[in-house]
Amino acid sequence: MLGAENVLSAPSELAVYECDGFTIEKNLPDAVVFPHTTEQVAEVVKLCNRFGLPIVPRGAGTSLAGGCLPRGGGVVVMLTRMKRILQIDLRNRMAVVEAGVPNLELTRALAGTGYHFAPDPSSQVASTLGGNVATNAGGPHTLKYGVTLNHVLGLEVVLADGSILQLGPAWHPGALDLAGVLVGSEGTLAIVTKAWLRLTPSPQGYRTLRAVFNSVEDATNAISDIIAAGIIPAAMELMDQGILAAVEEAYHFGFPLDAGAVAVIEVDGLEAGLDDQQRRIESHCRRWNAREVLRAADPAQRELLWKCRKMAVGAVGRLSPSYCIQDGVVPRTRLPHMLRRITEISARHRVRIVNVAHAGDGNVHPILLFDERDRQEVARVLAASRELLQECIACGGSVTAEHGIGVEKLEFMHQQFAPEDLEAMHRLRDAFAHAGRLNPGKLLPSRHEPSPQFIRPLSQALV
Amino acid sequence: MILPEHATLVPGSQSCVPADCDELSRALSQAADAGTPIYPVGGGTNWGYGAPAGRAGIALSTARLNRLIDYPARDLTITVEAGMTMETLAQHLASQGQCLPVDVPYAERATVGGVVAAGARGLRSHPAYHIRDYVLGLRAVDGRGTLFSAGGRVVKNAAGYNLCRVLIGSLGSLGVIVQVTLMVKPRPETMALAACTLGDPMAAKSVLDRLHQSGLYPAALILLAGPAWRQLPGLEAPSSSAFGRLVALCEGMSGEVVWMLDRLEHEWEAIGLKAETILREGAAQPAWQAMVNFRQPNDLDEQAVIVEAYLRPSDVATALCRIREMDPDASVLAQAHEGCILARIAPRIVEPLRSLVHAAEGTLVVAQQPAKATLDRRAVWGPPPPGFGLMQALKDRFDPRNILNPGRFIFP
Repeated sequence: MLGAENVLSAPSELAVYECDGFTIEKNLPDAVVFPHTTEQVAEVVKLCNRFGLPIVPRGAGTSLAGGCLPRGGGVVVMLTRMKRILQIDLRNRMAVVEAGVPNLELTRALAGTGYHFAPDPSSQVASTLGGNVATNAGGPHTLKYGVTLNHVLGLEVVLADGSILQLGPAWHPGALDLAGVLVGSEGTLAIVTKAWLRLTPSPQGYRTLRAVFNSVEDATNAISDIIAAGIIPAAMELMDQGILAAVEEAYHFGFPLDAGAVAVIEVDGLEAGLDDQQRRIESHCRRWNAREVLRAADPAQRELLWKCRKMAVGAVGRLSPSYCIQDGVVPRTRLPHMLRRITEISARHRVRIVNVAHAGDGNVHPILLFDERDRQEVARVLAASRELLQECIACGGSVTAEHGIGVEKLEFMHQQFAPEDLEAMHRLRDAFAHAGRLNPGKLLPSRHEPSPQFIRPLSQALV
Repeated sequence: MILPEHATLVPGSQSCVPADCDELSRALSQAADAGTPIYPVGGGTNWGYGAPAGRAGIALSTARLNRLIDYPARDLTITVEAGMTMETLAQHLASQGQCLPVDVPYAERATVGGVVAAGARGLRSHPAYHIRDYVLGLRAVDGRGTLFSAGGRVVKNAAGYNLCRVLIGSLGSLGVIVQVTLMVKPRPETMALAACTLGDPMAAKSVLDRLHQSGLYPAALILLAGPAWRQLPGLEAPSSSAFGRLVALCEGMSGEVVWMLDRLEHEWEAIGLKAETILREGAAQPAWQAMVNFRQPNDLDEQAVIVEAYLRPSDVATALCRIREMDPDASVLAQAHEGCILARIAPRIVEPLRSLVHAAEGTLVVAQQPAKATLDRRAVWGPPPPGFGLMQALKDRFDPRNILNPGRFIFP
């Protein structure tokens, strides 16, 4: 059906697919297939149905939550060979892509056109657009531009019964928004094979600032005031003292080592409004005792200011043999509280935690540092992770802003949602016939069995 | 059309105005036991949207569920009960210098729940076009009387299925929405409408083809044609031979709007257009409101319906001209960036127009019909959409007795 070159079944070849970025649980699939067309995906699904095999769709495998883990074995459907950009239609502000196109490929293809695809998750070099759709990926620019969901015009999918369905790209008021539900459904309802994506006109200009604060509290207050003043920056990224030390040690950007936090803030839009916004942002930072506010004078300096944020996570490797990046979200005004709680949790569990955050969205990414050879420390890391996520729920937030539930966070679904809410999700899944066979054991805890407890990664432990 | 009083449009129906969510749940579970149809009613402004209700039942009003639940303005979110009117919502938001940029007709009556259930579309371009891009979470009662929540109160959330999306625009056929959390925006400092006359139909296409790449970023770019637009408050009537008008909405900080208007003048001039009128702030409101209300005129008789079509933006001008050829009395409002056309046409051309739109891979529904509705479910919504089987399966699971707005949306 696919040709021998597109099927793997020897255990040695399958080992690569026993997990993704989440490596606590591993399991070998029975086979891995590499379809080149939607029709081939459909044939594979029908065949799996005939043999009662689970089906696990997979893009680049960058999920940190175990979204691509072949839990019950089965067939991993790799979409990475469906990697054509089928059309870039600037007149209609739309790109048509196959699921396996890496996010950055589309960005590159659009360079110089005056348009861009807005979602830019940190994994964008590798992660596929199909995977971005499956997890409703975000990134640093969601505050102003929204998440993947806001940029999907239509989808072609293969359903669990092997039928092919095209939804959109024209909006249909006389239909339920199935495409909108499939975005973020983590491959449990259908396999995305093609997407019609919205292109966004690129801004005329940017102003990028880096502000150094004495405390995290001051930084988050400044960020909150900026929003309250009616400014919606394209990005507001926060780094705390812990991560600054790592960045400084690695790259020597010249941060004062006693600084409490650094914020990288960017506004974009019409040139006519940018200087004014920049001035107002600066004065909000100064009001909260910013000891230094640096403006990027040119594109090269802008790149430099962003570089310290983008390289921050990588620098963590210098601090510790192992680390894990958490993903949680709280209402923006609860950020100071959340960061205080993280400090407490860190102290109580004797786990070093450093922070980066998409502060404008209230999206925290605490990074827990440890040594995976120390089993006791690992246990403390897991306990601290659990407490962090529970605090997000307690603040009225969510245990994941952009990474998804996967298998990692199943145990929290019962805490974040009432039984009736989960039952409604089950009914949605039930409506998709045979969906139980698609990416089983992900996103939604079983109606009957308790969810296994994971919380986090020895995996990145091994980074 | 606006429903004058609850239930009068479904002969023999009763009305029920629950005091709170518990009462509403009870009413629904009783109705489910008895198999009584439930017609959820907010402000009654959308009775002309969808197919006419066939069977007598209960008009279930959310009027008393109108509380403000939580408004953490600095988080740019607000949580309200479904029965709050859009005008009241706007007042709360205005008190903090914020807004919800999706404008709907009759905001003084239209409710938040109704607007979400109908999947309201405004006049601005993306990202301010569709209410779905503002809904972060909601609570609803399904067809068994079970209350459930979907989504959350944070602006970014990847936990679980996004059930909000199936309820938005489902016209109350899966659940009665009782509470909504919305993302809101800072209110733009200032706004201006710029308008010009388009001489002939051919001009429309070349103008839109050339303006789509404008460096102007207008918040809305709207093409108007037909008799309804002869009179537009604050604007001079165009010469009788003119084909239509082009209207651009510029909004933002005052410096930005000054720049936009200047740039617009140059861009328009380069393609042979002249910005004849520029209306600012309050002076622009009557014209803006007239365009917002076009979707739901209160003077529809049997001679006219409003249809809504979605096409590739590049096909909009051509379709607009065809509509005017098919029905010389047709009036049209086209949203150039969204590929959306609203047209007031004679009911007899609904089907021919639908064929035309389908041939261009578009969609068409009837967005409003008169009190004495003449079009049935099939004529309003068109043939079953792709994935209809799945939608029906969803409907069966959320409303197994088919009591929620039976026959009004796409389900039998």
